[in-house]
Amino acid sequence: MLYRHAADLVTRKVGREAVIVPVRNRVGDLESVFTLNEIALRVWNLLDGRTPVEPIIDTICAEYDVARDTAAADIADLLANLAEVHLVEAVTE
Amino acid sequence: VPSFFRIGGLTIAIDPAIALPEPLSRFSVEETGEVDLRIDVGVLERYEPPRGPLLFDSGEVWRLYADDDARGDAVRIECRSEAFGDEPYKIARVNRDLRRAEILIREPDLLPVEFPLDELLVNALLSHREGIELHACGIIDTDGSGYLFAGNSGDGKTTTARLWVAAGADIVSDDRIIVRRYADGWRMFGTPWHGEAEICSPSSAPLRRVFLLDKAKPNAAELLDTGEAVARLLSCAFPPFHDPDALQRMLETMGRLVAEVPVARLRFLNDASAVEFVRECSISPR
Repeated sequence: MLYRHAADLVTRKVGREAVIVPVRNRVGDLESVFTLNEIALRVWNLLDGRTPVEPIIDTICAEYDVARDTAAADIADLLANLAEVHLVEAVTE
Repeated sequence: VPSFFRIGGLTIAIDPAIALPEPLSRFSVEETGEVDLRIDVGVLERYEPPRGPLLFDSGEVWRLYADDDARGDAVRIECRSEAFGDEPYKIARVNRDLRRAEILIREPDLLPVEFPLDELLVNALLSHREGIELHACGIIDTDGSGYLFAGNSGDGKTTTARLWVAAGADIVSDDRIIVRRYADGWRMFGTPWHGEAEICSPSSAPLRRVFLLDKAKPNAAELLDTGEAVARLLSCAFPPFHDPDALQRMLETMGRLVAEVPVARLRFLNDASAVEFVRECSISPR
Protein backbone atom coordinates (compact mmCIF):
# COMPACT_ATOMS: atom_id res chain seq x y z
CA MET A 1 0.00 0.00 0.00
CA LEU A 2 1.19 3.52 -0.83
CA TYR A 3 0.10 6.66 0.95
CA ARG A 4 0.29 10.34 0.13
CA HIS A 5 -0.63 13.50 2.02
CA ALA A 6 -4.19 14.71 1.57
CA ALA A 7 -4.71 17.99 -0.28
CA ASP A 8 -5.40 21.32 1.44
CA LEU A 9 -3.27 20.83 4.53
CA VAL A 10 -1.12 23.53 6.11
CA THR A 11 1.82 21.81 7.77
CA ARG A 12 4.48 23.51 9.86
CA LYS A 13 7.47 22.00 11.65
CA VAL A 14 7.77 23.47 15.14
CA GLY A 15 10.85 22.37 17.03
CA ARG A 16 11.16 18.62 16.47
CA GLU A 17 7.42 18.22 16.04
CA ALA A 18 4.87 19.35 13.48
CA VAL A 19 1.42 20.88 13.47
CA ILE A 20 -1.05 20.04 10.70
CA VAL A 21 -4.09 22.20 10.02
CA PRO A 22 -6.58 20.96 7.42
CA VAL A 23 -8.01 23.89 5.45
CA ARG A 24 -10.70 22.64 3.12
CA ASN A 25 -12.56 25.13 0.96
CA ARG A 26 -10.74 27.85 2.90
CA VAL A 27 -12.54 26.81 6.06
CA GLY A 28 -10.62 25.55 9.05
CA ASP A 29 -11.81 23.74 12.12
CA LEU A 30 -9.97 24.43 15.34
CA GLU A 31 -11.18 21.08 16.69
CA SER A 32 -9.13 19.40 13.93
CA VAL A 33 -5.58 20.57 14.51
CA PHE A 34 -3.10 17.70 14.63
CA THR A 35 0.39 17.33 16.01
CA LEU A 36 3.06 14.82 15.03
CA ASN A 37 5.90 13.87 17.32
CA GLU A 38 9.44 13.53 16.01
CA ILE A 39 9.17 9.94 14.73
CA ALA A 40 5.66 10.38 13.35
CA LEU A 41 6.97 13.45 11.50
CA ARG A 42 9.80 11.34 10.03
CA VAL A 43 7.23 8.80 8.79
CA TRP A 44 5.03 11.62 7.50
CA ASN A 45 7.89 13.02 5.44
CA LEU A 46 8.36 9.60 3.81
CA LEU A 47 4.71 9.37 2.70
CA ASP A 48 5.27 10.64 -0.83
CA GLY A 49 2.79 8.42 -2.70
CA ARG A 50 5.68 6.37 -4.18
CA THR A 51 7.42 4.75 -1.21
CA PRO A 52 5.80 1.52 0.04
CA VAL A 53 5.37 0.94 3.77
CA GLU A 54 8.13 -1.73 4.04
CA PRO A 55 11.01 0.62 3.14
CA ILE A 56 9.55 3.22 5.51
CA ILE A 57 9.76 0.64 8.34
CA ASP A 58 13.38 -0.08 7.27
CA THR A 59 14.25 3.62 7.43
CA ILE A 60 12.75 4.07 10.89
CA CYS A 61 14.54 0.95 12.19
CA ALA A 62 17.84 2.24 10.78
CA GLU A 63 17.46 5.70 12.30
CA TYR A 64 15.93 4.85 15.69
CA ASP A 65 16.63 2.18 18.27
CA VAL A 66 13.43 0.18 17.79
CA ALA A 67 12.62 -3.49 17.14
CA ARG A 68 11.23 -4.12 13.63
CA ASP A 69 8.01 -5.72 14.92
CA THR A 70 7.36 -2.74 17.17
CA ALA A 71 8.12 -0.23 14.40
CA ALA A 72 5.86 -2.11 11.95
CA ALA A 73 2.97 -2.18 14.42
CA ASP A 74 3.40 1.49 15.40
CA ILE A 75 3.61 2.65 11.80
CA ALA A 76 0.51 0.63 10.89
CA ASP A 77 -1.35 2.31 13.77
CA LEU A 78 -0.10 5.73 12.72
CA LEU A 79 -1.18 5.22 9.09
CA ALA A 80 -4.61 3.98 10.18
CA ASN A 81 -5.01 7.04 12.42
CA LEU A 82 -3.84 9.44 9.70
CA ALA A 83 -6.23 7.85 7.19
CA GLU A 84 -9.13 7.97 9.67
CA VAL A 85 -8.76 11.74 10.10
CA HIS A 86 -8.20 12.20 6.33
CA LEU A 87 -4.65 13.51 6.56
CA VAL A 88 -3.38 10.80 4.18
CA GLU A 89 -5.00 8.89 1.36
CA ALA A 90 -4.11 5.48 -0.05
CA VAL A 91 -2.74 5.51 -3.60
CA THR A 92 -3.71 2.69 -5.95
CA GLU A 93 -0.50 1.09 -7.26
CA VAL B 1 -4.21 66.20 9.28
CA PRO B 2 -5.11 62.53 9.73
CA SER B 3 -5.98 60.80 13.01
CA PHE B 4 -3.36 58.36 14.20
CA PHE B 5 -3.79 55.37 16.48
CA ARG B 6 -1.43 52.59 17.46
CA ILE B 7 -2.43 49.01 18.27
CA GLY B 8 0.12 46.30 18.95
CA GLY B 9 2.95 48.66 17.96
CA LEU B 10 1.32 49.25 14.53
CA THR B 11 0.57 52.85 13.58
CA ILE B 12 -2.51 53.49 11.47
CA ALA B 13 -3.43 56.86 9.97
CA ILE B 14 -7.01 57.78 9.03
CA ASP B 15 -7.54 60.63 6.59
CA PRO B 16 -9.55 62.80 6.97
CA ALA B 17 -9.26 62.84 10.75
CA ILE B 18 -12.15 61.40 12.76
CA ALA B 19 -13.13 61.57 16.42
CA LEU B 20 -12.03 58.16 17.68
CA PRO B 21 -14.69 56.66 19.95
CA GLU B 22 -14.03 55.00 23.28
CA PRO B 23 -12.12 52.78 23.84
CA LEU B 24 -10.19 53.25 20.56
CA SER B 25 -9.48 56.86 21.60
CA ARG B 26 -7.14 55.51 24.28
CA PHE B 27 -4.96 54.19 21.45
CA SER B 28 -4.75 57.59 19.75
CA VAL B 29 -1.19 58.87 19.18
CA GLU B 30 0.31 62.13 17.96
CA GLU B 31 1.55 62.43 14.39
CA THR B 32 4.38 60.01 13.94
CA GLY B 33 7.10 59.50 11.34
CA GLU B 34 6.49 55.85 10.54
CA VAL B 35 3.00 54.77 9.57
CA ASP B 36 2.23 51.08 8.94
CA LEU B 37 -1.11 51.60 7.20
CA ARG B 38 -2.66 54.74 5.71
CA ILE B 39 -6.45 54.69 5.38
CA ASP B 40 -8.29 57.17 3.18
CA VAL B 41 -11.98 57.45 4.00
CA GLY B 42 -14.71 58.41 1.57
CA VAL B 43 -18.44 58.03 1.07
CA LEU B 44 -19.75 55.09 -0.93
CA GLU B 45 -21.85 56.91 -3.53
CA ARG B 46 -22.71 53.94 -5.72
CA TYR B 47 -21.98 50.27 -5.16
CA GLU B 48 -19.97 48.58 -7.92
CA PRO B 49 -19.64 44.80 -7.57
CA PRO B 50 -16.09 43.51 -7.17
CA ARG B 51 -14.09 42.71 -10.31
CA GLY B 52 -12.29 39.69 -8.86
CA PRO B 53 -13.44 36.35 -7.43
CA LEU B 54 -14.72 35.76 -3.91
CA LEU B 55 -11.78 34.59 -1.76
CA PHE B 56 -13.56 34.10 1.56
CA ASP B 57 -17.03 34.47 3.04
CA SER B 58 -17.18 34.87 6.83
CA GLY B 59 -20.85 33.90 6.78
CA GLU B 60 -22.78 37.07 7.55
CA VAL B 61 -20.44 39.88 8.43
CA TRP B 62 -17.76 40.24 5.75
CA ARG B 63 -16.55 38.88 2.44
CA LEU B 64 -13.10 39.07 0.86
CA TYR B 65 -12.65 39.50 -2.90
CA ALA B 66 -9.69 39.92 -5.22
CA ASP B 67 -9.83 43.48 -6.54
CA ASP B 68 -6.78 43.97 -8.75
CA ASP B 69 -7.09 46.74 -11.33
CA ALA B 70 -5.14 49.51 -13.05
CA ARG B 71 -4.65 51.23 -9.67
CA GLY B 72 -2.73 48.18 -8.38
CA ASP B 73 -3.06 44.77 -6.78
CA ALA B 74 -5.62 44.85 -4.01
CA VAL B 75 -8.25 42.94 -2.10
CA ARG B 76 -11.69 44.18 -1.20
CA ILE B 77 -13.49 43.55 2.08
CA GLU B 78 -17.23 44.10 1.96
CA CYS B 79 -19.13 44.49 5.25
CA ARG B 80 -22.82 43.76 5.32
CA SER B 81 -25.58 44.02 7.90
CA GLU B 82 -29.30 43.29 7.80
CA ALA B 83 -29.88 46.89 8.84
CA PHE B 84 -28.51 48.09 5.48
CA GLY B 85 -30.10 45.57 3.13
CA ASP B 86 -28.27 43.55 0.49
CA GLU B 87 -25.58 46.01 -0.49
CA PRO B 88 -22.54 46.50 1.74
CA TYR B 89 -22.57 49.38 4.23
CA LYS B 90 -18.80 49.59 4.07
CA ILE B 91 -16.13 48.58 1.58
CA ALA B 92 -12.40 48.49 2.23
CA ARG B 93 -10.01 48.28 -0.71
CA VAL B 94 -6.65 47.22 0.68
CA ASN B 95 -3.47 47.24 -1.40
CA ARG B 96 -1.85 43.84 -1.31
CA ASP B 97 1.34 45.36 0.13
CA LEU B 98 -0.82 46.47 3.11
CA ARG B 99 0.56 50.02 3.02
CA ARG B 100 -2.66 51.79 1.96
CA ALA B 101 -6.37 51.19 2.20
CA GLU B 102 -9.45 53.06 1.07
CA ILE B 103 -12.59 52.69 3.15
CA LEU B 104 -15.89 53.80 1.68
CA ILE B 105 -18.87 54.16 4.02
CA ARG B 106 -22.53 54.35 3.01
CA GLU B 107 -23.36 57.07 5.52
CA PRO B 108 -20.96 59.77 6.67
CA ASP B 109 -21.62 59.19 10.37
CA LEU B 110 -20.53 55.53 10.20
CA LEU B 111 -17.21 54.87 11.85
CA PRO B 112 -14.69 53.68 9.23
CA VAL B 113 -12.76 51.47 11.62
CA GLU B 114 -14.83 49.28 13.89
CA PHE B 115 -15.70 45.58 14.07
CA PRO B 116 -14.80 43.67 11.96
CA LEU B 117 -12.50 45.87 9.84
CA ASP B 118 -10.16 47.09 12.58
CA GLU B 119 -9.29 43.58 13.73
CA LEU B 120 -9.03 42.24 10.16
CA LEU B 121 -6.59 44.98 9.12
CA VAL B 122 -4.49 44.71 12.27
CA ASN B 123 -4.32 40.92 11.96
CA ALA B 124 -3.27 41.17 8.30
CA LEU B 125 -0.45 43.56 9.27
CA LEU B 126 0.60 41.37 12.21
CA SER B 127 0.96 38.33 9.98
CA HIS B 128 3.87 40.10 8.22
CA ARG B 129 5.49 41.36 11.42
CA GLU B 130 5.88 38.28 13.60
CA GLY B 131 2.76 39.18 15.56
CA ILE B 132 -0.31 37.26 16.70
CA GLU B 133 -3.60 38.30 18.29
CA LEU B 134 -4.73 35.88 20.98
CA HIS B 135 -7.84 35.37 23.10
CA ALA B 136 -6.08 36.13 26.34
CA CYS B 137 -5.97 38.25 29.45
CA GLY B 138 -2.73 40.24 29.69
CA ILE B 139 -1.21 41.28 33.02
CA ILE B 140 1.65 43.64 33.79
CA ASP B 141 2.81 42.68 37.27
CA THR B 142 4.14 45.16 39.82
CA ASP B 143 7.74 44.35 38.72
CA GLY B 144 6.93 45.09 35.05
CA SER B 145 6.73 41.44 33.92
CA GLY B 146 4.14 40.62 31.30
CA TYR B 147 2.07 37.46 31.79
CA LEU B 148 -0.43 36.23 29.28
CA PHE B 149 -3.33 33.94 30.24
CA ALA B 150 -4.85 32.47 27.10
CA GLY B 151 -8.18 30.70 26.85
CA ASN B 152 -11.54 30.77 25.18
CA SER B 153 -14.85 31.92 26.64
CA GLY B 154 -15.42 30.36 30.03
CA ASP B 155 -11.79 29.35 30.59
CA GLY B 156 -11.25 31.99 33.29
CA LYS B 157 -9.80 35.11 31.65
CA THR B 158 -12.13 37.50 33.47
CA THR B 159 -11.63 35.65 36.77
CA THR B 160 -7.88 35.89 36.25
CA ALA B 161 -8.10 39.63 35.51
CA ARG B 162 -9.99 40.22 38.77
CA LEU B 163 -7.50 38.19 40.84
CA TRP B 164 -4.56 40.21 39.46
CA VAL B 165 -6.26 43.59 39.87
CA ALA B 166 -6.71 42.73 43.54
CA ALA B 167 -2.97 41.92 43.68
CA GLY B 168 -2.01 45.39 42.36
CA ALA B 169 -1.16 44.40 38.77
CA ASP B 170 -2.24 46.31 35.65
CA ILE B 171 -4.49 44.57 33.14
CA VAL B 172 -3.96 45.50 29.48
CA SER B 173 -7.00 43.57 28.23
CA ASP B 174 -9.24 40.90 29.69
CA ASP B 175 -9.91 39.32 26.28
CA ARG B 176 -7.62 40.17 23.33
CA ILE B 177 -3.85 40.54 23.46
CA ILE B 178 -1.29 41.04 20.73
CA VAL B 179 2.15 39.47 21.07
CA ARG B 180 5.05 40.47 18.83
CA ARG B 181 8.62 39.35 18.41
CA TYR B 182 11.32 42.03 18.43
CA ALA B 183 15.12 41.83 18.22
CA ASP B 184 15.33 42.07 22.03
CA GLY B 185 12.50 39.63 22.81
CA TRP B 186 8.73 39.26 22.84
CA ARG B 187 6.30 42.00 23.90
CA MET B 188 2.62 41.84 24.69
CA PHE B 189 0.22 44.70 23.99
CA GLY B 190 -3.28 45.56 25.11
CA THR B 191 -5.96 46.03 22.44
CA PRO B 192 -9.21 48.00 22.29
CA TRP B 193 -11.10 44.71 22.02
CA HIS B 194 -12.02 43.93 25.61
CA GLY B 195 -14.10 41.23 27.26
CA GLU B 196 -16.68 40.98 29.99
CA ALA B 197 -14.68 43.04 32.50
CA GLU B 198 -14.33 45.82 29.86
CA ILE B 199 -10.67 46.35 30.64
CA CYS B 200 -8.39 47.53 27.84
CA SER B 201 -5.28 49.66 27.66
CA PRO B 202 -2.61 50.55 25.08
CA SER B 203 0.15 49.55 27.55
CA SER B 204 2.73 46.93 26.68
CA ALA B 205 5.33 44.90 28.54
CA PRO B 206 8.04 42.31 27.94
CA LEU B 207 6.35 38.90 27.72
CA ARG B 208 7.75 36.56 30.39
CA ARG B 209 5.35 33.63 30.38
CA VAL B 210 2.29 32.33 28.53
CA PHE B 211 -0.25 30.26 30.43
CA LEU B 212 -3.09 28.31 28.84
CA LEU B 213 -5.94 28.42 31.34
CA ASP B 214 -7.41 25.26 32.81
CA LYS B 215 -9.90 25.61 35.65
CA ALA B 216 -8.88 22.31 37.28
CA LYS B 217 -7.48 22.40 40.82
CA PRO B 218 -5.04 22.77 42.53
CA ASN B 219 -2.56 25.43 41.35
CA ALA B 220 -0.13 23.74 38.96
CA ALA B 221 1.81 24.63 35.81
CA GLU B 222 2.91 22.08 33.23
CA LEU B 223 5.20 23.03 30.36
CA LEU B 224 3.65 21.81 27.08
CA ASP B 225 5.41 19.97 24.26
CA THR B 226 6.09 22.22 21.30
CA GLY B 227 3.42 20.77 19.01
CA GLU B 228 0.71 20.76 21.68
CA ALA B 229 1.62 24.30 22.74
CA VAL B 230 1.26 25.56 19.16
CA ALA B 231 -2.00 23.64 18.66
CA ARG B 232 -3.42 25.08 21.91
CA LEU B 233 -2.31 28.62 21.04
CA LEU B 234 -3.89 28.23 17.60
CA SER B 235 -7.20 27.43 19.28
CA CYS B 236 -6.95 30.79 21.10
CA ALA B 237 -5.95 32.74 17.98
CA PHE B 238 -7.73 34.00 14.86
CA PRO B 239 -6.19 31.78 12.18
CA PRO B 240 -6.45 33.15 8.62
CA PHE B 241 -7.84 29.93 7.12
CA HIS B 242 -8.67 31.86 3.94
CA ASP B 243 -4.96 32.56 3.36
CA PRO B 244 -2.72 29.46 3.63
CA ASP B 245 0.47 31.57 3.35
CA ALA B 246 -0.62 33.76 6.24
CA LEU B 247 -1.57 30.63 8.22
CA GLN B 248 1.94 29.24 7.59
CA ARG B 249 3.43 32.49 8.89
CA MET B 250 1.21 32.34 11.98
CA LEU B 251 2.35 28.78 12.75
CA GLU B 252 5.98 29.81 12.22
CA THR B 253 5.59 32.75 14.61
CA MET B 254 3.89 30.51 17.18
CA GLY B 255 6.73 27.99 16.85
CA ARG B 256 9.21 30.76 17.66
CA LEU B 257 7.08 31.96 20.58
CA VAL B 258 6.98 28.47 22.08
CA ALA B 259 10.76 28.08 21.63
CA GLU B 260 11.56 31.43 23.22
CA VAL B 261 8.92 32.00 25.93
CA PRO B 262 7.68 29.32 28.34
CA VAL B 263 4.16 28.18 27.37
CA ALA B 264 2.49 26.13 30.10
CA ARG B 265 -0.94 24.76 30.99
CA LEU B 266 -2.04 26.50 34.19
CA ARG B 267 -4.44 24.96 36.66
CA PHE B 268 -5.54 27.56 39.15
CA LEU B 269 -7.67 28.18 42.20
CA ASN B 270 -10.04 31.16 42.16
CA ASP B 271 -8.22 33.00 44.95
CA ALA B 272 -5.06 35.00 45.67
CA SER B 273 -2.98 31.82 45.85
CA ALA B 274 -3.12 31.60 42.03
CA VAL B 275 -1.32 34.96 41.74
CA GLU B 276 1.41 33.95 44.18
CA PHE B 277 1.80 30.62 42.39
CA VAL B 278 2.41 32.33 39.01
CA ARG B 279 4.83 34.87 40.52
CA GLU B 280 6.92 32.05 41.97
CA CYS B 281 6.62 29.74 38.97
CA SER B 282 10.09 29.08 37.54
CA ILE B 283 9.39 27.18 34.33
CA SER B 284 11.66 27.92 31.38
CA PRO B 285 11.45 27.01 27.66
CA ARG B 286 12.57 23.53 26.61
